[in-house]
Amino acid sequence: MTVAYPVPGGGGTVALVGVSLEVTEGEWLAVIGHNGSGKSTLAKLMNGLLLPGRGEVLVGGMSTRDTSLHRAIRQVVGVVFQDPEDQIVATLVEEDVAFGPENLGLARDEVRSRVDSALDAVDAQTLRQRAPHQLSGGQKQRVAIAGVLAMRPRCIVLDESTAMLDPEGRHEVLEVVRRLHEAGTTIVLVTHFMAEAALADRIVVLSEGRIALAGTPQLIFGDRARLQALDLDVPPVTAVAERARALGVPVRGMPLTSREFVSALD
Amino acid sequence: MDEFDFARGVTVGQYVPGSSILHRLDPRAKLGGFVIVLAAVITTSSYLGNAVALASVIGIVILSGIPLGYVLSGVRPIIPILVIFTIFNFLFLGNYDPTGSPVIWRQQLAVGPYEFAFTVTENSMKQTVQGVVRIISLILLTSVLTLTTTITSLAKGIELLLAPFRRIKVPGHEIAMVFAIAYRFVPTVADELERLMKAQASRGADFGRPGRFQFAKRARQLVPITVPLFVGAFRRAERLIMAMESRCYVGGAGRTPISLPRLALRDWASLAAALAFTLAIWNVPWPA
Amino acid sequence: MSETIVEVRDLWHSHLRGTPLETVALRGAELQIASDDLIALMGHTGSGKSTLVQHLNGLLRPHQGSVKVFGQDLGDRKLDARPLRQMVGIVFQQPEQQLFDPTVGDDIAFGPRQLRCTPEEVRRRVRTAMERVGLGFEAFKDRYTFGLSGGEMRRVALAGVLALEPRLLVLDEPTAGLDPRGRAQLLSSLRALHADAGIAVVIVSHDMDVVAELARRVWVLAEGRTVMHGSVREIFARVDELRELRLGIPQVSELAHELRKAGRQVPADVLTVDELAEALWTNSTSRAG
Repeated sequence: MTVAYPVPGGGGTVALVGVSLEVTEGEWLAVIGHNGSGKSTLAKLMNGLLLPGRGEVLVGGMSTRDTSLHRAIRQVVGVVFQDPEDQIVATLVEEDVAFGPENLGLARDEVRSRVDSALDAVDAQTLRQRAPHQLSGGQKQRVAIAGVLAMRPRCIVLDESTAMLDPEGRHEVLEVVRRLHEAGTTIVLVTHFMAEAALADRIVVLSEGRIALAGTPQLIFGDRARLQALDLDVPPVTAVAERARALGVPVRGMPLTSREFVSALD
Repeated sequence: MDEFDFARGVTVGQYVPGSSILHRLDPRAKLGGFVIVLAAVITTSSYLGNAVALASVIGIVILSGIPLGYVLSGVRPIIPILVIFTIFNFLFLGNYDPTGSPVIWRQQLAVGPYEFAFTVTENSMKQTVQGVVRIISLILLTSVLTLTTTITSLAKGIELLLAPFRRIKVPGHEIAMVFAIAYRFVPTVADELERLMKAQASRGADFGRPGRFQFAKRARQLVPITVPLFVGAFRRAERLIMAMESRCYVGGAGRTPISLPRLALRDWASLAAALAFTLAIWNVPWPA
Repeated sequence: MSETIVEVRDLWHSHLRGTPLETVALRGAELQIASDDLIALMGHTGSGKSTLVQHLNGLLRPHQGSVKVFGQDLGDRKLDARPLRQMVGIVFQQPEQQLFDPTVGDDIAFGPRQLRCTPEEVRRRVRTAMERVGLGFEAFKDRYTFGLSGGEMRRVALAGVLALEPRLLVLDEPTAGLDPRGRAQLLSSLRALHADAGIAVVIVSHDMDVVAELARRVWVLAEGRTVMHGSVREIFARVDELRELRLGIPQVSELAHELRKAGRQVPADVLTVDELAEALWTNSTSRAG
């Protein structure tokens, strides 16, 4: 599946300019940038919530400009947003996860089985009968992800879904994302946490509505100077590696996580 | 005392799990029964009739198995309003009595250039007392309904009851959805309200009471609360819409139809009982 | 000259006291704040840190134990806590949600006006507060509040509290939701407030990297009790204990911990990138030599 986006232009305030991007099936793409860089706009363009001013957004060959295709498009691309609270509609977790399939008019049994497998995938079976306002941030986001998974999408876009969570919640969500990716789901992670972006297959850096950099994490985080020129930085682990190397410590390659760093020293 | 600890003293809207007959009734039967009994409660117009209606409602509360004290405590928050209502009606309603019933008490009062007349007629006294009794009955009845029925159940009941009206374009599903979503966010908004009050108090905002009738001043005092709540509500609505659309919500059309089990004997029996009760109340020749 | 401005001993507090939903939030918490402190208060969700902090300006009163702020005893029922709300400024989570006046300048002026300052004084305070958070007075004072970006709105809210000219500033999760640029700006504003304006600063945060960057001392709460306190280095060196409390540690400390587990001799209390890099270099030269 190719999700192709030649997307120049925007509305009243121009949010994105001349952005062209392809997301290949099964990959994990991270989109990083400051608030105002256009990354949230990009996320909402991906499932037709926003329509491009100029250019096109194609999801599996379907253009988001055709509103009659939105239903199909939203079963291919699901979006999880930043605020855990404002994505949950129903008074019980189980009912909220069923919301999506119910909207599709599926039969009761089908709805039930999708709810079951979605809750399984995010490890939230025990939360079925709970009320959303009693859950922790991480739990709420996992329920939101389950709600999206119940649509059986091929691609999930997470628009800064960890920004409002505590470290434990963030860890929970990233674990779920990692498992989904391993199972073959395409992931687009919009974030400003460098350590999260380091987990992806590919990174795109947005700045002021344009793509400033694109490449593998190794490539992107290898050029610290260019990142700092954009007011961004590398993950602390990589910063330590670079500084140590400058001092003369033999560090092999470009470690992005603690574990990689330890092996890079041997 | 802890000024900001909101005692959850509101019983309307709360659900208390239980196994009484009321809990086990189908929501459609309960909603129907509620409307029928309500009709009786608010239209009876004699002292004895009202007393019987109130006693019956209390009987229904007892039937629900929920402690009577807890349900009655839901009346507490409105006692101040009731008192004002009673005093005003008691003093002034008699001045406008269309039935010309005998005057029980009259008092003129001159304050400066103004003259006040306090009049209590038989009819105005009856209206005042009945008003209070009806309000209390209404609260108790509504509490019993929401205490014994989950919001989901109620929403389904409303949606199914309104379904036949689709033909005349009554959006049953959407109405039920509005109620359900509003209810779902009550605890969330309550938390936000508490946080807001604390934050504004920390900036020196004063929420003390300026006096019974200084409504304008009170309203101004509350601006640091009301404005952010509204702005927040709109922002929340925007985000919720995006999340719902992303999951293909387009209103009631094409959704998996909700279903409830068929109405059981006890549901029909309860509806019949409610109807009988109301008809009885209407037809008994109560002493005036 | 530093003096103790806050003394909390054996503090107990319950929510919804007297109702069937009563929960004990604090069970004997302790805290001390000096006038020149830059403290972080840490704890897992539910540890009571927000409850503790709300005692500092009298929003909550102790149910047991004592809370003394600027010499005033909050256990005294006759005490009017309102003056404290000027001396102790609390900035709650997502403060941009509390803005209500359509004009930026007027919203910030709310606090000083409630304090009955003269118009000149109000103006002076608003100007100073705005400068301290990096919002130009002339540029922003007449702007439409709700048209600003999230980061700008947060700074307006912070200025609103600073305009009270508190001597102690408490911020609950100040960097939550901010991007790296916004975060850096906020931290540097807080540092400047502490250094230049002599305001004691307390942040409640679960972002360990922010704590490591900003705080000098750390107090850790768990289940309503104070379980650890000390310098920021001491506390973050106690990795296993922090893990057990379900708290994270700064990414640099995490790396140091992994390296130590792999047998490298790096100190347990490194906090910054440079420190760790240098420690590694020292380590590698001593191994080679």
